[in-house]
Amino acid sequence: MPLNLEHEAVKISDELGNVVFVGAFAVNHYSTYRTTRDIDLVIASPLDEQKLIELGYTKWEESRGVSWSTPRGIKVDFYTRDLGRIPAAWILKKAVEVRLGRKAIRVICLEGLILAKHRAGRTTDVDDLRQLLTHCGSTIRWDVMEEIADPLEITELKQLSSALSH
Amino acid sequence: MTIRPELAITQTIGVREKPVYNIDDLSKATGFSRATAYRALNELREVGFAERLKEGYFTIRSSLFQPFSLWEYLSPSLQALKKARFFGLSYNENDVRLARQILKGMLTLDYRAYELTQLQLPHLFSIYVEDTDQAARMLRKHKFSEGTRGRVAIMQRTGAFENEIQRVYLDCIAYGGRSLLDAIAIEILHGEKLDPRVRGVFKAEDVLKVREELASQSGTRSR
Repeated sequence: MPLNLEHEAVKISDELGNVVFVGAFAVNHYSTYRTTRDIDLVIASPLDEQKLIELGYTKWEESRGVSWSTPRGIKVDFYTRDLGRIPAAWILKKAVEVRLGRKAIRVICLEGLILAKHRAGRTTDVDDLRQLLTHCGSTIRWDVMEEIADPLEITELKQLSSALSH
Repeated sequence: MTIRPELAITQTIGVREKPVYNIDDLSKATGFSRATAYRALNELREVGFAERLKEGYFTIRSSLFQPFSLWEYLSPSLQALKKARFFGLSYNENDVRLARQILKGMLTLDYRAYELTQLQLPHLFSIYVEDTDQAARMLRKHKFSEGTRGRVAIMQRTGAFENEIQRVYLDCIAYGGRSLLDAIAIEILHGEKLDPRVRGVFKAEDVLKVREELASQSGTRSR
């Protein structure tokens, strides 16, 4: 059976507190899609390596300091400053709460996720962006997007959204 | 299907990958007039690399950016994908469970790749069948509806199937996008079962991502 990443997200939120899930995990929240078993997240404060070690996290050996393994063996990439030039503080402020049973986790808002994917521009990001715009393009809050995207990006995203959204 | 080598110039549109393109993008990238660009787009659609959307936009499969020498091997997969028929009932995982019981055929793409690699959680249940009309009837009998958003895709068997893993590998490359990660994982984990002369070309960052992910699965992290 496929691994339940939602269960892992709840555990991570319990352990680390103020975190926001981004990347493919967040894409999967807005539109059921494919994801690898790693998790990307934005964290409120600078990474406290000592605390992570005490919680049973282990540093990923090839990492430059941002990749860790959870005590359950899931790879986590931490973003402490920005994600695709979107400030971490903005992502934390605009994050949406998602109820998972009796627990709640926080996920990057749709506008932040779309812009991050648009800026990343790798094949998998383009695929994720296409999926997001197809299924959620009509619900983008353009006033929120204007807070983080430049006018050229907004024009381009509006065109893409119009071409793809149902 | 024969593909003209001249069509390879359309790969220049991928200098910057986008979710959708318009005819001006193709015209600018290739230096073609708009009329020639339209003809090239029609050829790309015929091969299975492009799909038309509304308002003059179209999508391009990332398999277009594979070397031209690989295109003839991708062609049967692209044709099967182009003619794939999609079905849904509850539009969730239950549809996949039911389709597994109803349909007989060769599994490919997401679910087969997951069985082979455990890399990415699967989404689309794609299966090659001998007769798509018969398979469609079976699904309809179980209250499935045909449309564009279903999670069950039935595909006509086209091309070579002697080497099942090779076929799944080529299907993943042909499908493109996130399935490229599946193709990379198949090559890493089952490379000895693949024809060494028929290999995809992948970006280093994607290969590194897959390697890291596979390493995390096998527990080779530092302690």
